[in-house]
Amino acid sequence: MLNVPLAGYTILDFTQFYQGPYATMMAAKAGADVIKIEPPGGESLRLMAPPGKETSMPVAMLNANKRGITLNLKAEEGKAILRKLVLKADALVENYAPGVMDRLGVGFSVLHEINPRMVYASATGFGLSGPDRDNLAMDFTVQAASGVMSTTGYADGPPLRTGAPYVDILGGAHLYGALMTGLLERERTGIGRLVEVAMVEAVYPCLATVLDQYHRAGRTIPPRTGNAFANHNRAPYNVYKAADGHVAIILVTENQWQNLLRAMGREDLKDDPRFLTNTARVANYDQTEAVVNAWTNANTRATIFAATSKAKVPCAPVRDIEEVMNDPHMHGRGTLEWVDHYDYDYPIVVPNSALRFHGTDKVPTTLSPHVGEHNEAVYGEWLGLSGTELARLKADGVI
Amino acid sequence: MSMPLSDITVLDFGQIFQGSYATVLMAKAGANVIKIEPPRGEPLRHRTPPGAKTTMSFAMLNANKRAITLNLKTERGRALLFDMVRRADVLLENFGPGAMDRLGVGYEVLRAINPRLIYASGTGYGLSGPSRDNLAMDMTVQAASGIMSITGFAGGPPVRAGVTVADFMGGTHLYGGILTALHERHRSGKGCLVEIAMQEAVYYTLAGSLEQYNRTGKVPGRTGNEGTGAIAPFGVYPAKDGFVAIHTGTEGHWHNILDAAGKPELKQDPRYRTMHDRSAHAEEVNAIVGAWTGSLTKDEAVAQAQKHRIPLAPVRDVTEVMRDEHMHGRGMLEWIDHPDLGHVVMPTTPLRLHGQDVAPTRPSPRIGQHNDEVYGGWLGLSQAELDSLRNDGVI
Repeated sequence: MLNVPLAGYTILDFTQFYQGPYATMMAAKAGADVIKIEPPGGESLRLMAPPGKETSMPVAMLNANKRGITLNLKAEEGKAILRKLVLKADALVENYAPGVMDRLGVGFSVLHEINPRMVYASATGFGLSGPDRDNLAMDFTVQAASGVMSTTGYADGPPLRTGAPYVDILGGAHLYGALMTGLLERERTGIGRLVEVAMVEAVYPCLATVLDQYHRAGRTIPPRTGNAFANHNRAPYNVYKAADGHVAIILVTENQWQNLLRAMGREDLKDDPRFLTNTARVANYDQTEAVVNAWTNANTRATIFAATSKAKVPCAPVRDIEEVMNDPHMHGRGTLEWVDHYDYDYPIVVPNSALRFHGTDKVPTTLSPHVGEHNEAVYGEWLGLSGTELARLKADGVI
Repeated sequence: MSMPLSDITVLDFGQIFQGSYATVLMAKAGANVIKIEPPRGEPLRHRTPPGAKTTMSFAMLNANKRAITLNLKTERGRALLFDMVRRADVLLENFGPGAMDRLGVGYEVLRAINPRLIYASGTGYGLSGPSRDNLAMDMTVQAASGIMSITGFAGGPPVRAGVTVADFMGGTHLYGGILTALHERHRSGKGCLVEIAMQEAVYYTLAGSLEQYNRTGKVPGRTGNEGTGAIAPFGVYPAKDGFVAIHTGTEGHWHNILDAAGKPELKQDPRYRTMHDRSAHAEEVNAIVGAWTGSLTKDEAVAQAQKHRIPLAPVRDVTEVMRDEHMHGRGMLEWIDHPDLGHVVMPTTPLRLHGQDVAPTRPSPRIGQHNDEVYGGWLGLSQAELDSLRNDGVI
C-alpha cells in the first residue's frame, strides 16, 4: 500500500478536453482512484488523435494514472448505473457546458440526494450563473474574453493568443484546489458541496500587473509592449536576440544592473549616469537596449546564461519544446519520464504532477487507459456485475 | 459564516505573486492568514510609486490577510517564529531554495517544533536538480518553460504572454498542494513539505505542441493567432470596433457561422465540408468569417454568437473585463473602497463552494498593521515586550 495523500478516495471523472482532466490527473497522481467515464466512443479529445489511434499527447498526459470505463448517460440503464457508482464515490468531476448533466437527469441536486457526502465539481468557461453562462468557451475564446489576449503582442499589431492553452490548465488547477477544499470541508461537516470554477474568473487575478499599470497611468490602458514591461517602465526587461536564438533578461532590483554590466564585461559603464537607476534607464531606453543587444547578439544562449547566472542576473534561454521535454533538470527531479506508450511507436516523455509531497510515495506512472479498458474491473469487481450482465450492457450500448 | 478553511492558521511568507496568490485563496476560503514581512515590507511593496501607499497588485494579492513584521535575522525574531509555528497549521514561503534553511528556520527545524505543520515552498525550478538555483521570475520561466517559444508570429521573435501566467499557475498549484497535504494530515496526523516549481506547473500547457512534435518530428514554430492550422475557422478576426476570437470545434459551429453570416448555401460546398477541407482552404474560410465579423461591432458579434451558438468571444481590454457585468453579477468582482486606492474593482476567489461563504473582503493591510493584534492578542506578548521588539528592530 502506497503512502499517498489521497489514498482511499474514489473520484468519478466525467471530464473532457483539458481543463477537467487536468484536475483529476492531479488527484490520480496524489493517489486517488480516478475512474474516467467516457461515452462508448471515447471523450471528445480522443477524436483529435490520428486515424486508428485513441491517444494524442494531451490524452496521454492528462489521463495517466486513471482507470477508463465507458457509460452511455443517454440510456436509462446508463443513468441507473451512474446512481450506483455515485453511492460508492467521494467526488464527481465534470466540465460539460452548464446544465448538461441536469438535462440528462443526473445533475448535482439529483446526485446529492443519492449521496449527500459526494462532492460535485464543475468547471466551465463562464460559470454556472450570470448572463455569460451559456457562451461557448474554449481556451482561445476565454483568452480573448478575459482580457489576457489584449495584453499580449505588439502595440502596432493585433492582440495575440498565447500559444500554450494556459487558461484551460489554470482553470483545471483551480478546479483541483476547489475539489480538495470541498473534500476537506466534507471531512468536517459530512456534506459534499457543489464546487465550481469558471475559466474567465480563474484567469482574472493574472491581470494584476496590467491593472496596476492601468491605475498608475491615470486610468489609461497600457498598450501592448511585446516582451517589454508595461509602458516600457523597466529596463532591461525584454527578450534579446542571441547568436543562436533568444534570451529573456529582466532586472528587478537596482544592483542587478551593476551585476549585468559585470556579466557583459561592460564595467566601463558602471558610473554612467544614463544607466545608473531604472528611472535613468527608462529615460534612455533605446541606449540601454542597445547596450544589452550588442552583447547578446554576439554570444550564444549558453554563454549568456552562464555569465548572467554567475553575476546573479535573472535570465533564461528561450527554449523550444524539444529542449524542454529533454530538460535534464526535470528528468533528474522525476518530473519528466520516458515511457513506452501503446499508441506510439517510440518512447514518449510524460510529466508527473507538479504537486510534490515530500515524505509520501510517488504514484508509479500508469499509461492513459484505452477507451473502456477497465470496464470489467470497475463494473465487475467493484460494482459486482456479472460477466453476463456486462456483455449485455455492452451489446445494448450502455457501456 | 460557514467557510471551509475557518479552522486553519497560515503563516504567510509569500512575496510578490506566486506565494501570495496561494494564501489569498486560502484567506478567501476563511483561513486565518498572517502575512509576515521583513520590517520594511516585502519586495512587492517596494514597487509602489512615490507618493502612493500601495498598488493594485498588492491590494489584490493580500486582501483578507493580517500583516505583521518580523526580522528573521535576529535571534528573538526566530524565537517568535517558533512560537507561532507551534500554533499554526501551514507555513508558506516562496523565497529562493535554501533561504529559510540558511536563516535556521527551514523545514526540518520547524517540523521538529510542530510535526503537524504543513510547509509549502514555491520556487521557479524546485528544491532539487541542476536548475534549482537559477533565478526565476515569471518572464524567465516563460522563456525556460517553452511557452514563449510557441507564442508570437511566424518569422517574428518569441513573445511573452502579456500577463504573469507562470506566477499565477505556480500559486494555484501551491494552493492545491497545501489542501492535499491537509488531507494527508487528516489521515496520518503529520504535516509534510509540499513543493511547487513554476516550470513544472506550466508544463502541461505544452500538451498540444508536444503532440505536433511527436507526430511530425518537427519543433512547432510560432503561428500567431492561427493555431496549428488543423482547425478552421480559428483566429482573431476584425470587428468594427476591435477584434473577436473564434475557435470552432465541430462542423455544427461552422454551419452556425454560415447561418449567422447569411451564407447557408456554403454548408454544402465541398471546399468547406469537413475541418480538414476547411483547413486546406483556410484563406477562403477566413475571408468569409472576416467579412462577417468585420460588418459587426464586438457587441453585435457576441449577440450573434449567443443566438447561433458560435464559440466566439470579444477581445476585451482590461477595463472592459474589470467592469464585466457577468463577473460582477456572480460576485467574483466587486467595487470596494480601499483606504489607499479609493473606489476600485477587486476580485474575490475563483474557487466557489456552493452553500459555503466567501470571506467578506477586507482591504490589503499596511506594513505591520496587525502587529499588536497578532503578537499581543494571539501570542500574548505585553505592550512592554512589543515596544522592546519594535525598538530592537525585531518586528
